Amino acid sequence: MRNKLLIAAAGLTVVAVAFALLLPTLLHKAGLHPEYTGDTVALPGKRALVITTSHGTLNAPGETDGKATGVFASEMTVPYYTFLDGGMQVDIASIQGGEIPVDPESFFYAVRTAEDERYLQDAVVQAKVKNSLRIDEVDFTRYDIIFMAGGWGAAYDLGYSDALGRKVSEAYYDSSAVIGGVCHGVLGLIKAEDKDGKLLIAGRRMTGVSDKQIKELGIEVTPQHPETELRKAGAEYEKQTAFRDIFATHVVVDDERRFVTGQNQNSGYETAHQMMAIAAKP
Amino acid sequence: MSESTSESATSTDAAKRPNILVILADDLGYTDLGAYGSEISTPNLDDLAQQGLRFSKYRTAPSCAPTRAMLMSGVDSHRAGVANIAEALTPAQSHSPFYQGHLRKDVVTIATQLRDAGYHTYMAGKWHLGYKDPALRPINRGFEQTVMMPYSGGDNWSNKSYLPLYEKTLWFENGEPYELPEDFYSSEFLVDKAIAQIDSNRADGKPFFTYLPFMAVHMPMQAPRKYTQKYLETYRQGWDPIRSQRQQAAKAMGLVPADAAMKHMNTTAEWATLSEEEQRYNAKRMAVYAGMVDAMDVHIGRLLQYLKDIGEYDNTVIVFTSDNGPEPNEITGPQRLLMLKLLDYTDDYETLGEKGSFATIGPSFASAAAAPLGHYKFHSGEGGMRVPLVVSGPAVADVLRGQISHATAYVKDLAPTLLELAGVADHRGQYRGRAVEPMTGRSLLPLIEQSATAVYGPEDTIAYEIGGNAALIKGDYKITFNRGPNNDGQWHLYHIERDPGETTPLEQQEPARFAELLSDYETYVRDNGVLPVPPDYNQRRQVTRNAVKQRLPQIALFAGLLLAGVAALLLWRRRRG
Repeated sequence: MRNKLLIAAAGLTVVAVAFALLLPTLLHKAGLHPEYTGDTVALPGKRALVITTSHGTLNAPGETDGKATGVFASEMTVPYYTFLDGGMQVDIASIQGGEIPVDPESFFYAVRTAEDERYLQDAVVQAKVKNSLRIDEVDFTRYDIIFMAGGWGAAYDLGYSDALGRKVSEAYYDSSAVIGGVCHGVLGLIKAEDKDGKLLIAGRRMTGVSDKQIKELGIEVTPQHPETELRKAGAEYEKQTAFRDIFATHVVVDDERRFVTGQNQNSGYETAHQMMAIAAKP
Repeated sequence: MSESTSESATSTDAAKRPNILVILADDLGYTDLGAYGSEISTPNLDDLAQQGLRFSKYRTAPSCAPTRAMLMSGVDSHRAGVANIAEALTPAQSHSPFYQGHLRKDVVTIATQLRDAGYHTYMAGKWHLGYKDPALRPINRGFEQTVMMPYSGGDNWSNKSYLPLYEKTLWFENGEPYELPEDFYSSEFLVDKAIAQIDSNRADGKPFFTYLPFMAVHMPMQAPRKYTQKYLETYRQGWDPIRSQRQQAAKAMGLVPADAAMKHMNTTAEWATLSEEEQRYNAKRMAVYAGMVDAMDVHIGRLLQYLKDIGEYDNTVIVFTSDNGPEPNEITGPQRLLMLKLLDYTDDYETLGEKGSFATIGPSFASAAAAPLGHYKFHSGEGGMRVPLVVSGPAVADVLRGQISHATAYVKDLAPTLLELAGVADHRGQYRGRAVEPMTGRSLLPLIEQSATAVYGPEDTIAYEIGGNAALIKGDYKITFNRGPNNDGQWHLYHIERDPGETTPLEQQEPARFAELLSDYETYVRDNGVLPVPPDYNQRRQVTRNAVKQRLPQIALFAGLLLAGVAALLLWRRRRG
């Protein structure tokens, strides 16, 4: 009897260890952070700006306490290194400047990407994240690509920033920048206005994190939801869905080829590469 | 007739190419010379400075082999193959062409170019750019005569090794193994050899290029007793008064701004907390260091006198500099016992500095030697990178003699400077029909021959990395990163013009500039094949691991013999029983 119990315990241990070891692969196969196998381009001499939230708490309206959140690491690291490895100079800005909060759950071993691993060893990028540029002080027209990273913190500040809305408009009209983002990052587009005072993104095909994914993650307490906000702004919202939307991905290039948006954390690779491809063809 | 003779002489002078003498000290700090603010007596080098031009913002790599690679080639240390000393490379790094620890074959040295341009080329001293493959030895890298020590250091009194890494310190003359004379003292010996080399071809009238890399003041710090004696009382009050003295002297000379702050290193001990015995011992080991600098200066004086005696002094461009800042490491604990026992040294007070002794100065006095800068050797703070540079001789404009240039300069710049002086064109990546690494250093001649104030513009960068410690300079600013238990492992921004002590980080106040310099550093990493070190990388531990690996055959042999002996004994006992 004792032998059988020991054998059973050993068996369970083996299964648990195997599951733990296989979990990253299982999640990857299910759709989390899919590999990018498409075309790549080099953009030496070009510049990219990655914009993130400055908000670090998952708080209910009217409250200040909550679980730690911030930018979801891969939504910053994947585009950062995609642009950098393409020869671009990459700056990191945030709504308030200074230290950017990074969602600690981003680095859970089963979830984190190779780019996250690279970031954790990269004192240069860590220095940029710790001393990020304040968007008010950044001239968006000097960039060829402007990418807005998501993460739940972005639900609290990107879509409320008049400065960000104004600067997106400036970048759109006064430069040839390709503009976009993934997940909650696309909230940074909703305040941008065209020259007639109408919303710049009205009528454009776009995506961002689905209301379903937000519900499935249990973060409905967040004040802005990209699917809802994009529809409100008149954008033609698109998405893919899966048994759990955290495993879905979708990337949209608008008809004018000025905006590229990705549905969620899985879309970073393709979004970044699409932006580079567009930036490479004047 | 008189007029004609004068014209002919002028024409001859104009056509005559200068001799070039490059004297490289090892691990000498920014203020270790009298001409840079030191209490150490260095009259010969001070005279050179008075007749020549000093640089206040000349920088090297903070370690010996990378500096030597850049000095010899004008090529970035990584691209030259010497991203770090061979002894400190990780297994992953060893596979990169930029991490070989020796000059790559597609790097052409200034010695090769000068020899091909008609110079005699001589070398006496520490090479540290490869030797196991004879093709790597200086005799095969452009020098027609050499007396060479291939390692990072060695005993200054004999061929004993200074690290367990090496069995003994090797010496080669003209590429072949060489036995040191009984009366060997490194600085004296190297100057004797340099003189002999120059003397050997005096008759043919060709100019010479002499590269004289001293072993002084690399550990083990050793000096003849008479030199140490001069300084026994100098350091009895410890490092703090020395730091202050040197800071004041450097400010008075205009080497650093009058309002520059001094960085206090967290590795500097409190003198008052040391016992009387400890204070006495520390004062002596620093006296040994000072004596070693003093002795080097005396022997340099002999060489300069020789040049005057043969009438070549006025036609010799003399460059004096150091390969990096002062050595902070000291040998303590079990490592010390191992060193003393295995290598047969003593660190007793009485004979410290003399034959058979092993001295270091430790981080506190190393910080004094680099005063008023922060950090020291192996670190990318200014104390590791900023060192004296004196250029003297016919190249220096009369109006600039005795002056200080505040232009930014880097060790890579010395190669194109010397080649231009010798009338050798920049090879631009093609040498005698084959592709070679292009020189990326800049000639400093506009600063030396004329009154130009800069050869680097506000948008130009100088960047560096060794063992994960890194820096980038652009205009008046610098970003710097240092790892390890005594550093914070983060990048910082300094206004290096106003704050050479790197006391006031500016990254929070100037994030845009910080981001710009960080991006410039990323470009440097990409262009120069910089590989990251593992998170737990420790250079000294890596050197030890590599040493054990290299000595493994000996260890295995010893273990095998021991086992065989034990087995034989057991068999014998069994047979007898």
